[in-house]
Amino acid sequence: VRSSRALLMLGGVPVLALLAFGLTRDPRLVPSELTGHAAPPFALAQIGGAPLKLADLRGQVVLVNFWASWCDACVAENALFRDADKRWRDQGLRIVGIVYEDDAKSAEDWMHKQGLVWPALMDPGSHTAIDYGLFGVPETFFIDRTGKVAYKQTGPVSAQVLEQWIPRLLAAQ
Amino acid sequence: VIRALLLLVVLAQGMNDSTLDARTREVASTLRCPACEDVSIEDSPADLARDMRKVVRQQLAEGRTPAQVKQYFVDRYGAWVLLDPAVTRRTAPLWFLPVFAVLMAGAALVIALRRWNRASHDVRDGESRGDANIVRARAPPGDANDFDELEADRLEGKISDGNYERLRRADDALAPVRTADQPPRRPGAPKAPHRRKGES
Repeated sequence: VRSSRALLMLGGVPVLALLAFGLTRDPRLVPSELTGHAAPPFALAQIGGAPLKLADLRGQVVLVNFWASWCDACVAENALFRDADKRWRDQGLRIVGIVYEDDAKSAEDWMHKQGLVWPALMDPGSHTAIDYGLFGVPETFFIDRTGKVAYKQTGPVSAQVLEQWIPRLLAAQ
Repeated sequence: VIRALLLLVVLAQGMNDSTLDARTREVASTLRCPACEDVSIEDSPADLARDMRKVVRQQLAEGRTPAQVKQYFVDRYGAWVLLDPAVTRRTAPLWFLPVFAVLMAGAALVIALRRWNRASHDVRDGESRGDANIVRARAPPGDANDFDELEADRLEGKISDGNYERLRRADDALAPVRTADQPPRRPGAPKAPHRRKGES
């Protein structure tokens, strides 16, 4: 009886502990390998504007937001991005949208419908999305003034996330 | 001559393409599709998987080795992107924990089967000898006379060895509650005068 109890404790407890730990995690959320590293550079065509390079925005805090017109979850965060743009633009915040697996016409229509006032870039072949290790949309990368990825948000951003990260990144030199 | 040379060039290009396609398939089959559940980008119909296959092909065509192409994806998606991740300190539990769990489960199963086998064997023995009623009707253990009867039953074959041992163990478990003037007596030991509580 003692040996079987010891066996149960030795084998069962670690496995149960691991399963319990797993229940506290979202298996779909994989931390970005890019956090703390230089953001992958890009130079992409802008819908209704001149091509844009990430290097042109060096020295500012950049939110790179991947979105698509077919993405329902992308709608909710636009209001938050609009507020953030108004509130922090003068202090050096720049929001850049990158269109994911979508055509330019649908993306442009959606931009006008949603009232997007920041650049939207086309990413043919999803090269930039893959460079950023994208799993789906929406995903947003917070890039500091030195060009490093400080944080990645999987799924729609929340007001709390914006409040937590943007002032801190704007304050850092 | 020119036609022959052109034909050779076209054939060589075709061979290169088919080799490149095969290498692309080989690498793509080792990379997990980020937009799917446990499917390689080779097997996935997702748009992102298709674009990743193109990146694999492009990088191989540029002269990168399969290991370098895989590393490109690992640098962006983490070791998660490899369907068959290398054994490192971080990934070691992925490899060894299932083996450990299977071994533990196997050991527990063997122990459980042995017990079950022994118990069912004892019951079969007892029932076949017709002593099940004897076992159930026996007085509570702790009485030295019961041991004598038990021993006698066992010697006569009325009770199985398994049931005999079980009753003996039950008696041992009750040993601490016995009074000092009723020491436990092992079967076969000389009979002591049998006194009950309150007797002088």
